[in-house]
Amino acid sequence: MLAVILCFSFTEHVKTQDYTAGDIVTLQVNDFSLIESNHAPVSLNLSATVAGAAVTEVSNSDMFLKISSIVPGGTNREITARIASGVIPTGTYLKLQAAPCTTANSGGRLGETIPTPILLSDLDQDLVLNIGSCYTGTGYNDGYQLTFIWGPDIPETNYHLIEATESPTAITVVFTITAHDGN
Amino acid sequence: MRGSKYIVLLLFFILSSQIGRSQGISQAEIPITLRIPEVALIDFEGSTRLISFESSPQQSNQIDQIVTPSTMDKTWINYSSIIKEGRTNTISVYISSGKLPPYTSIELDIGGDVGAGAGSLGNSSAPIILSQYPQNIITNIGSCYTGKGINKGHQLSYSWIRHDGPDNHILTEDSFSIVVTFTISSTDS
Repeated sequence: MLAVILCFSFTEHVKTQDYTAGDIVTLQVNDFSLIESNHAPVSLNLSATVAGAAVTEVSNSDMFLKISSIVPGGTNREITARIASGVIPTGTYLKLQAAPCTTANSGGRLGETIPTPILLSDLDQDLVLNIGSCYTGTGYNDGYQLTFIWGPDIPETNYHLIEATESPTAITVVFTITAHDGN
Repeated sequence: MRGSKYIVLLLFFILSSQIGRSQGISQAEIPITLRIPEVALIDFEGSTRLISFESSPQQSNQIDQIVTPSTMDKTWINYSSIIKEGRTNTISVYISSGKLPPYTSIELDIGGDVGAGAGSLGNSSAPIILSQYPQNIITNIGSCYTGKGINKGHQLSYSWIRHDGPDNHILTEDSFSIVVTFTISSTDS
């Protein structure tokens, strides 16, 4: 709009004197990323209710991971997960799977989730790949739904290692959205 | 003057793009709570004459069995156990109701675990003569499960022993019955 008005005003004065005026208008989009969870409590209980049966695998899918991402053209980010503190009880495994991002309030290039559950460890492992410029939405149930799966690990050899917990075991999982790979 | 203005602008853009590179929050931490409660569950399979009851909604750590002369070796005992560090579970048995005929006793033979489950399964004791006092029949049970069903866990075999006496009592099938109670319990309780 402003440009159009300027153009008109220039044409009116063009006969008298040839002025040019201008400013450099710079639009800049910095690459950035934000990550957050919906803070749903994740609490898992490993138990058996039938005499003779093993403790059964349990899961929790209450947690959603939300991100916002802007990347330079042609570059990608990943979301990785690792255990930052706490030790998984012996004789058990803790797995994690991310579902594709919810579609209700999201947009952009949301990447691809790893299709099989990852076995959580102290090392960062990929959870979502090829994330471009995108947003997941900010609602409680927006984003990548995370499913934590806890169960007895190789019962044939390791079941005897399982011990009842005196107090609940606290584990901290850290999710990292990486810098874009154009860096 | 004009040239210096452009230099300042150029510097600004270079600086701002450097700042932009580190913008954002790149990590989210979430807490997870894991709990493993103690487990001590016991049940029978195979015997048609059994009563079981749960002492609490979560724990079935005590069961009764009606034993008759025909019970013989038809019973399999199944259990699930999760222990706290340094503890074990023990299964004991006693006659809780009914009276044996005179000059009669019941021997209970406890087979070893047949290996249908996994974990630290218990050790079977030598055969016992049932009495009204609890006797341990499977000890040193760690975290384990036997599997559920017949041919899983430990096989129980009852034998009726007749002792010499004045009354030559004849045992007939189901002519009488007694109730034996099995309990699985932790070494600390």
